[in-house]
Amino acid sequence: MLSKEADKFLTEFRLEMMAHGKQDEAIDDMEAELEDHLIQAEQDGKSLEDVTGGSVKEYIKNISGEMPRVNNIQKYVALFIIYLAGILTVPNLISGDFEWTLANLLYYVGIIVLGPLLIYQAFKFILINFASFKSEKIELKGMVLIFVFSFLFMGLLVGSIFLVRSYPIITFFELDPSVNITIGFILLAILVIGTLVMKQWFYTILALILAAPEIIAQVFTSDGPQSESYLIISSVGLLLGVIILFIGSRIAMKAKK
Amino acid sequence: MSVSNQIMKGLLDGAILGLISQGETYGYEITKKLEAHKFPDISEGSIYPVLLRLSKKGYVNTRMVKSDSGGPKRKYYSISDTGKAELKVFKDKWIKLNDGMNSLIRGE
Repeated sequence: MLSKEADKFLTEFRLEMMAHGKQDEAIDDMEAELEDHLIQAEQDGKSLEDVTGGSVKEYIKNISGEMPRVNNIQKYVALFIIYLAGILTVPNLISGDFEWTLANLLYYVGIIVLGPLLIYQAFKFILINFASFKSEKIELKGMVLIFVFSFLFMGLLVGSIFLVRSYPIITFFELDPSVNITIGFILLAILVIGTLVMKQWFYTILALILAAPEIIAQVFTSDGPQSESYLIISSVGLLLGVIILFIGSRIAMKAKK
Repeated sequence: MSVSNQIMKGLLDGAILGLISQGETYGYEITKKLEAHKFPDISEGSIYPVLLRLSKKGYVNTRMVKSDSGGPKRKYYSISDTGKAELKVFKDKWIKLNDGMNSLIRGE
């Protein structure tokens, strides 16, 4: 009953509002209101253009200016960046071979700043063009694109790691693995306690699952993170962790419904 | 934004508040009423930023009503007491402004 154009517009609207930290309830209300309007307008033979006045982007910006934001959004963004930096570096620190080089630190700054932006832009494009929030379905083309994007993104990450290893630029200092491991565990403890205090269970579990493979591999092997047995244990552990997380979130979603 | 666009933006707030004061209504109905009153040059969607602004200022009360046919919820607007007071101020100003502008333009 709603045209594809209008459905796309609603998806883009929701994504933009979420990305700009608008309050969920306000987004739901406004989305329902726009949908209600569009259904009637299209029944009366009007187009999406008649409703938005031409530019979808301009129109979304106009509404966005009047939509209430989540309180303290800056605080949450800052906390999220710290958390992201934590969960990305902790596994590497616990493995003991974290490199204190300029290239490595730039690499982490790069993925923390550019990573979310890249992922957001890519998913926005895919969701607007090949998915619908209304029917909660993604088209096959969208699935393929997500797969291709994830593959390229992983490639970029792995490629960057090789670059970082080969071109350290400046080596600040070389720490004994045991020192790195200690720093890793202290950081992990801070992440776990911090998220527990804020009652964000999901983030506690995520941090633990990402660190667990390295901890397990560290305990069961004696020849360091480059060895074959260490690599096998940690990658199998990570895979299991991701599967557990996926199933867990599925169950949690079902329970919510 | 051109001068004429700025005039429209200010007047639309008053026009919509005036429409809501005539009885509880919702978005699409407001655009239809604006059309019926020959309110010029607005795209339908431009009423929504205005409605958000009016409810943020407390000039209107809103309620969401579930649809019987399984469609989206519909948001109904009605005027509040502060809205009524604001509308009175707006009407007074508009009448004076209208008189002033008319005599100015005729005097050209």
